[in-house]
Formats: sequence, structure tokens, C-alpha cells
Amino acid sequence: MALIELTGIRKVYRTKEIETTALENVNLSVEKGEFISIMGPSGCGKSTLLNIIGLLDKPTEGQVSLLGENCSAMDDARLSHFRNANLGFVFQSFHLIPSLNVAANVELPLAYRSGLSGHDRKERVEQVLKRLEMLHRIHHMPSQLSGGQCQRVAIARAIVGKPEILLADEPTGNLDSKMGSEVMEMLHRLNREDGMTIVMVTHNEAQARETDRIVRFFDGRIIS
Amino acid sequence: MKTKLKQIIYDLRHQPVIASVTIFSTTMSIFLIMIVVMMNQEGTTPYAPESCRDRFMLGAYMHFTYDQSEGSGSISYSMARRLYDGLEGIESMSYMQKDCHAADVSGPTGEAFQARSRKADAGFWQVFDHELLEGRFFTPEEADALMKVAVITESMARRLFGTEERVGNTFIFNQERYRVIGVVADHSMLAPSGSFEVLIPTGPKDETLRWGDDWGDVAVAMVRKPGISAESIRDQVKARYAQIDTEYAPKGMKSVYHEQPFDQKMIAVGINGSNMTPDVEGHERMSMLLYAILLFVPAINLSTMLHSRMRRRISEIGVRRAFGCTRARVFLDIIVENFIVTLLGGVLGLVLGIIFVTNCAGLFETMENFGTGATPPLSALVDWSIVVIALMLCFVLNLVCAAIPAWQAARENPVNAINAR
Repeated sequence: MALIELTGIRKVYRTKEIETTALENVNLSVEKGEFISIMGPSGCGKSTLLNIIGLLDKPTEGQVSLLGENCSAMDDARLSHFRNANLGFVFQSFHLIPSLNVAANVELPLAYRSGLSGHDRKERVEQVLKRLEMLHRIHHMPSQLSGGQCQRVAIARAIVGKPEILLADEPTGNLDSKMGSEVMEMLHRLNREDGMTIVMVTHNEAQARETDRIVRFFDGRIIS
Repeated sequence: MKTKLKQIIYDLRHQPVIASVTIFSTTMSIFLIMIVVMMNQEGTTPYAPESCRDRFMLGAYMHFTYDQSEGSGSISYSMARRLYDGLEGIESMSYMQKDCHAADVSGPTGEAFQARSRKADAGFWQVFDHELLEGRFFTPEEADALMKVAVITESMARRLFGTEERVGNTFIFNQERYRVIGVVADHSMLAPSGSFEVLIPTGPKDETLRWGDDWGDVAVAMVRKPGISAESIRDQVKARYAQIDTEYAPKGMKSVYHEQPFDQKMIAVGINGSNMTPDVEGHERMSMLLYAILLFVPAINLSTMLHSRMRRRISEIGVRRAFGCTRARVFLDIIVENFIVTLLGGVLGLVLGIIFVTNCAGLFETMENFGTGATPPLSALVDWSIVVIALMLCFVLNLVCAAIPAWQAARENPVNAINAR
């Protein structure tokens, strides 16, 4: 069974004046352990699709199944718990919380998880930061980090809860090529070593070619 | 909790204006409420020399209507006696000038200055509890004989005589020589009925306090016996008004009763005119309105500020939602954070109020009245139960007002929130 199963997804944004179709009849299956790229021109619906997979947005029509569970009928509390347990997010602009230091930022998903002691949380944070070679920055504030370091911390935050699925929205979009390569290497390692399923939106053809599969989008539809 | 404190500190550092105004408005709200409470309490709480304020009453004015006109003003000695002499249920009574008057005084050094003076009969010492430091109070005989003697306060004695003997020494009071027979401790000039710097004896023969048969400059201060109500005293006085009306009817005069003698609440509200009844209920309504404004304005301001703060943090809220924070948790977190800010502001306001009350009440007094500046005790000036209720109300109102932006933030679509749309 596919880990991510999207069936007949349609997303329409309505305002008083106009109606914009962002996604039209999107069907997509992603197997466990797969690393796929979603490509397409700006405004074609890539990020909308990623948000729907990430349960941050609801489709107008269609069904979203993740890990064999139909997520379309879940209420806010169940969606939040599901996201917390199974999904990790990496954003183009990192979106670290500026008032929290590296440790607290990485700890964020664990703060919404019950059954973990403070000691367990701290241990997990240190483990993941060590793995991403950021342990020496554990007490730094986001404003004291470079772009690449911020994205590493963002990845640490995304994987600290050991999610099944990692969703990355242009993770290298704000980084130079060297930093971008480092981040991509990290994502590949997570996919390879942990078997993490990764869905990445990117404009970078070379990076996309390194993934298992490229899903190409145009005008809200999958074209290949 | 640690994270929330960090967030507040971060806000203070990175949004200093918004965060400071939020805290400052709560601080000022509680502080100003304390000041208003203090100003209200100052007029009614018993403290020396008006230690019997809960049983104190003052009769001072008369108001008559004539055929086509009306007249009102303070009363003569004889009218005062007709209205108040021999009332049942009175423990002590004094005929005196209602207000202190500025009088020219000078001592042996020849330096002339003004002093707050009052004339009263010997009953004054039973109605008001002045601490006698030297000498004695004047006797009823001395008062009746209008003897040129005086009781003065310690600071007045120091100013008049320096280190010289005070009791037995003389000074000039309104161009006449008076002999000091007693010195009392300095006391608060916030006590309007019982305060003075120079007290001169007066009696029925004192023509300076009489402007006609009915009018003059005499007030009657009295203390009820314990257990006697103000109403029972007023009922007796009302009956005397009726007698006077019967007697004055041929002259076309009819009295207007203004709930005299006034109790301390009425005196504290302010006797705005001899033809008016002090409006205690109106004053209480105004006080409540003032409290409400002092509580609501910062709360509404807080709501606006919080909304602005939330807009700045909307992306953070979106990220938290993405990583599993429920709407309820977002709402609760904002409310708790706001509670801490309110608590901080409230405690600051309380501390500021206490500092002001303990250090500046004397300044407040000397600003209002020239005088000794002897500060009444803190307990006399602040009703802590009202302050605690105000603090609690402030918390509740702030939380209610914070609920709107908190709810809006919690309901925000996570995608829009992350992208700060």
C-alpha cells in the first residue's frame, strides 16, 4: 500500500469576484521510502499540493490518505496529532521561531507530544543536532546563524519527531549552491539511512534528477 | 512556562513599544485605581484627629425660600443652637467655624506669616482627638469669656517661638495679642473638620461669627453615641426645621432641608453649596464609572496591541500549527502569555501605587492644602479589598479582551499563517 495516496484532488480558491482552480483531478501515489520531486512553473499548484499532503490545507474535492488512514474526515485535533506524529516540514524560508534558541526550535514538535519527559526531549534534540553537525550551535539564536545553518536546524526540527514523511518546499531556494548541495545531501542521507519518505518541491532540475521520481505539474495538473 | 517567559522577554526586546505599552497600560490602570481609591478613602476612613468619622456629623448651613426668592448660607450661633443643641443620642458636640481661615500671625521675632486658624468652643476637644504635647486645652469658661488664648500645633509653635518657651508665650493673631496655653501634635490637614494650626476659643457672645439673627459663620460638629443612627439624629433636626418653619411662616419663609447634619460620606463627597445636598450616590456612580474607564480602556488597548503582536507572530503560529499544535493550544498559549503580561503590569502598578502612597501622600497633602504635611497612615488611605478586586477585574477584562485576537490567531489557516498573509 502507498504511504501517500491522493485521489481526485481538486482545489478551488474562491473569492467574491473570482474562482481560481489551483489543482484539478490530481492523483498521486508515493511509496514508503520513496524520494520524489515535484516540479513545474510558479503558480502551477506545487505548493498547494504539498500543503494538502501535509494536511495544512483541505482539498475542495478528493481524498487524502496517509499511512493508510483517510485524513479527509479528520477534525482539527486529530489532524494536529497526525501531523505531529507522522509529518515533518522544511520550508524555503526556514521559518525558525526567532524568540527561541536552536534547542527550543528543534524541540518544538516534541512539545506537542505527550509521554516524553523533559530529559527524553533534550536527549533527542541533542542526538538530531549532533547528526546534522549543529550541536555546537545548540544555544545560539536563529539570528546568529547563516542561511545554511538555519536550514539544517529546520531539518533537525522536521525530523526530531521521527516522522514517516518529510515535506520540503524548495528547501534550497534561499541558499547558495554549496549550502544547497549540503542540504540535499542531508535529505538523501535521511532517505537512505532512515528510509524516510520525502516529497520535495523544487525548481532545480539537477536536484530533482537526483531523486527517485519527478512529478511535473502544469496548470494544476500532473503532466508526467 | 519558561518558553512563555522567554517569548515575553523577546517581545520586550524586539517589539519594545508594543510590549511596553501593553505592560504600562495595565500598570497605569492599577496605579490610577489605587490613587482614586486613596482619594475616596482619604475622606471617610477614620484617622486622628477625626478618629470618630464613622459617627461624625456636621451641621453647617440653612436654606430658606421666600415668596419670590431664596437665600442660603452658614448659620449664626443662635440658629445653630436652635437646630442642634440638646439632640438625643449625641456623645459630644462642638460649635466652631466650619472651615479654617488664613490669619496673619507673628511671634517674638516679628516675622509675620499666615496660619490656618479656626475658632471653636471647648467641646472641640471631645469631638476631635488632638494629642496634647504641652499645656492644656481651653475650658468652657475661657471660651464663653472669649479669652485671648490659643492652642497651636507644634510646627506653628516652632515657627513662632523657635526654641523659646511656648506655653505662656504670646503672639499676634489678626492684630491682637494671644497667649499660648497648649501645644498639640502636628496632624493631617486632610482632616477638613478637625484640623488647624491656631485654635482660638469662641462662644455665643462672639459677634465676629454673627451676621444677623440667623446667619453667621458657625458649624456644629458632633459625634453620635455608638449604636445611634444618623437618621435618628436627622429626624430630630427635621422636627426642629418644622418648628422654625411654623415660626417663620408669617415672614413668608420656608426652610429647605438638605439632609443635615451631614455624615462623613457626605462631607467627603464635598459640600458644594449651602443650598445643595451632597450627592453621595452620584459620586459613587462617578467613581464606578471612573473605575470602569480605568479598567476598560487599557483592556481594549491591550486587545488592539495583542492583535498587532499576533499579526507579527502569525508566521510562528502557522509553523507551530504545522508541527502539531492544535487550535485550542494556540488559543491557550496566547491567553497564558497575556496573563503573565497582565500579571507583570498589575504587580508593577501595585508596587508603584504602594511606593506613591507611602512616599508621596504627604506631598499630595501639601499640594492640596498648605499645612503640616503629616501623612495619614497607609491603611487609612488604601482600601486593599478594592485594589485586589480591581486587580482581579483587570485580569478578567484583559483576558476577555485578549480572547478575541487569540481566537482569531487560532482560527487562522496554517498555510496563510506560515506565509503571513
